Amino acid sequence: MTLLLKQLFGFFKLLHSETGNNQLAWGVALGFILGMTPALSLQSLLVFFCLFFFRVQIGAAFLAAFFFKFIAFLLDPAFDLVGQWALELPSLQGLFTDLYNMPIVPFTRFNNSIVMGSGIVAIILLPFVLAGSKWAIIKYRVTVVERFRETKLFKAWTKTSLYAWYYKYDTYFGN
Amino acid sequence: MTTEQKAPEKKPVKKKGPIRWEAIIPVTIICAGAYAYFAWFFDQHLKKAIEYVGTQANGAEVNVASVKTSFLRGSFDLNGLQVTDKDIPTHNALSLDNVHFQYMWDALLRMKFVVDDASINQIQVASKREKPGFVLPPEPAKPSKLDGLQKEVLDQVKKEYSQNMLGDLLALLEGADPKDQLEKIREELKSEKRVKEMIADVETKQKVWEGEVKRLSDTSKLKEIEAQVQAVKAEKNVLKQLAGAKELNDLLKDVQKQAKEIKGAGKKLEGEIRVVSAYPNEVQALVRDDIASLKNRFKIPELDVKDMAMALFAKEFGGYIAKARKYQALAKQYLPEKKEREEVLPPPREVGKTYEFPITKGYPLFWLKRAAISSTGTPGSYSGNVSGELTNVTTSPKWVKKPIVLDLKGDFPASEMYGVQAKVTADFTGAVARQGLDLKVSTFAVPSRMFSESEKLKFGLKKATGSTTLTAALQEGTMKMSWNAQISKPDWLVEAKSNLAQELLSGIVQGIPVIYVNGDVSGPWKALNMNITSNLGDELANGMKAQVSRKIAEAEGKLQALVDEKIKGPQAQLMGQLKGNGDFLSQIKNADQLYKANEDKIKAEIAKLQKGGGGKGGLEEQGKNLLKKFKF
Repeated sequence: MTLLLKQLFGFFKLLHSETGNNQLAWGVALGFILGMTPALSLQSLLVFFCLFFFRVQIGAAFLAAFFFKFIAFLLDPAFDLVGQWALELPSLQGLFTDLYNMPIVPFTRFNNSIVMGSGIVAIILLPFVLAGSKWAIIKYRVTVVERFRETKLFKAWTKTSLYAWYYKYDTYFGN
Repeated sequence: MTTEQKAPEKKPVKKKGPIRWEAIIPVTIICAGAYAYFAWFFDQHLKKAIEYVGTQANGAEVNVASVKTSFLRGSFDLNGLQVTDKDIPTHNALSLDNVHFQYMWDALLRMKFVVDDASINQIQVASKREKPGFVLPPEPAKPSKLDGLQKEVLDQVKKEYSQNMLGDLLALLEGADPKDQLEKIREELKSEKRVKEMIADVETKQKVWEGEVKRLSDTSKLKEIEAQVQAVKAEKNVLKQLAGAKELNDLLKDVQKQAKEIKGAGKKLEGEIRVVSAYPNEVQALVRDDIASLKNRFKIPELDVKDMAMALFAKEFGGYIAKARKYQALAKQYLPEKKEREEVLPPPREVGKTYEFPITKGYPLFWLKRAAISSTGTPGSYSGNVSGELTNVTTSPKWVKKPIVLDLKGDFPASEMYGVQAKVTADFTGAVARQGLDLKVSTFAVPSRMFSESEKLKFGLKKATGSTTLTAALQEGTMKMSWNAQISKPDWLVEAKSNLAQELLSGIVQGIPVIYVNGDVSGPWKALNMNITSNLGDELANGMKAQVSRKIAEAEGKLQALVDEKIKGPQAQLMGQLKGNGDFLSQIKNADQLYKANEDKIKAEIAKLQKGGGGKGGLEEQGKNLLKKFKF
């Protein structure tokens, strides 16, 4: 829980810093995949592996996964239709049969219509989500954060001893 | 806040690469921890879990010596399994030395569980425990579905046998002593009662007819007529003769009336004699009825050889059928019959639809290819020297295309059972599921088996040696089972209170060196058609039949004697009386003839008088002469 909270605080901090656009964007993109995948499967584990081993913002990923989970739940009927369409394509039956009989691949649960449908949609939308989230983060920093920094309230806050203490702490102990 | 805050100098931020190296150590620690858990603790926890779940399920302590799993080897070993018998906690209901399962990695990587090689070693039943096992407090009794299914079969079988049919029959024979029965019905013989009625009837009739015959045979009237005829004949006076002729005419009328009366009486008597003459035949028929009714009173049963074999062995055979029903129901629970085409039900939206693609080079979800079973008998337990195998237990029998087969061979020296061969087959590969059992036991010690255990009769086998074969097949809810048993070297127990039963049964069983029992049952579980034949049943039934026949003959003889004794006297009396009736008839006939003769005589005299007969010509003649004298 501490780790998760730290990641979430880190997310907001990074969001308000001047660096880490890619980390945040990839975090949102991977969170999007996690959110779209209906249950624990091999591809989910792969995403978790990526989250832990690559310098991707985990808080952003979890937050995005939480958010996209709700959207995915509403989109399940659509995923089901897409998945059925894909799994019933005659030209792919040979491929699916081979995959079904391969080691490890069945752990992906690709033969489930919702897993297949959400997977297709997630893969297709991944570049757009990545690009879109990067653009949104930069835009957010330029428009929202900068404007906020210029406000009197924020300036007053930076003059407080509490802020000074926090700033000092973050300089020495923050990452 | 007057003093301006001095921002401390920022540490130079070190550029970090794309890989989160600082996460490697925690992950490595987590992995090492997981490895350490599975290497050192998982087996212990699995052992405890098996013991706890097993104890709760069994209702008595279940112990496992050790469990060893290997993820890399894909193996599972369970050693020293002991399942306490909750009825006898000092003993195990079942114990196994070792169970070994070897999963195929190739299948595991496909999310399938294929056991290439398994073994179950040293199976023991009722072996003694080192210390008594803990027994859980009993739960409130709940009606068991399996018990209900077995009861359904046993209820059908119970109709076929009587617990003590043999004893009942012998008691019946004992109770059917003609002497006792005859004493009871002595006063109730219909024939005797009727003969008495007949005698009374004949006596009454005799009295009536005596008077009648006396009256009708009275000749005084005839003498009077004779005298009158003579007087009219001797009369010279014509006028008086005319008056006499008139009197004779009146007399003739009287005589004719009397003759008519006698004739009528004769006919009536003849009719009554005819009725009375049928009395002897009626008596004979009543005697026959009485004998038949007495036979019914004995209630001597018609013995059927088939019924006797059924009564003797139906309970035992019924037990086998009930067990077959139980295990079939259990098998159905764990091996549900798969339909040829799975019905596709629309799943809930969020679950989606899972497609099954043809298995080309893969495996079914679960497949136990072969499990070797072996056991060596130990003293003090019912274990035996058993070897065998269980093959092709799978969730996709249609894909495997092989039936599940449990093949066992062995001997159980502690139970004196040798040459046991059992083959259980469950074939779900086709459109219709088939289950079968072939069981053969070459030699086994037949335990004490009582066919009748009543106060009056104890009849059964103290011990014997047997061999048996049992085959069963189940298809689409219809079962077919046949049972053949051969019981040799029988040591009989015959203890009857009556000498009759003792002699009868001892005589019968002495001539039976080997008992053959053949049973078969077929049909749906709810309406089984059972048939059992046995030479023991035949011999007993034939012996009983002979005894019953002898009893019937004896009873018939005694009945005949009783009837004769009671009927003979009255019947003779009746016959004597009937003879008397014959005398009445001849007397009536004589009177009739006499009157007829007198009637003729009177008629002749009247004719003579009319023609002028008598002394000096006829009345007409005399009349004419008289008119001449008066010159007319």
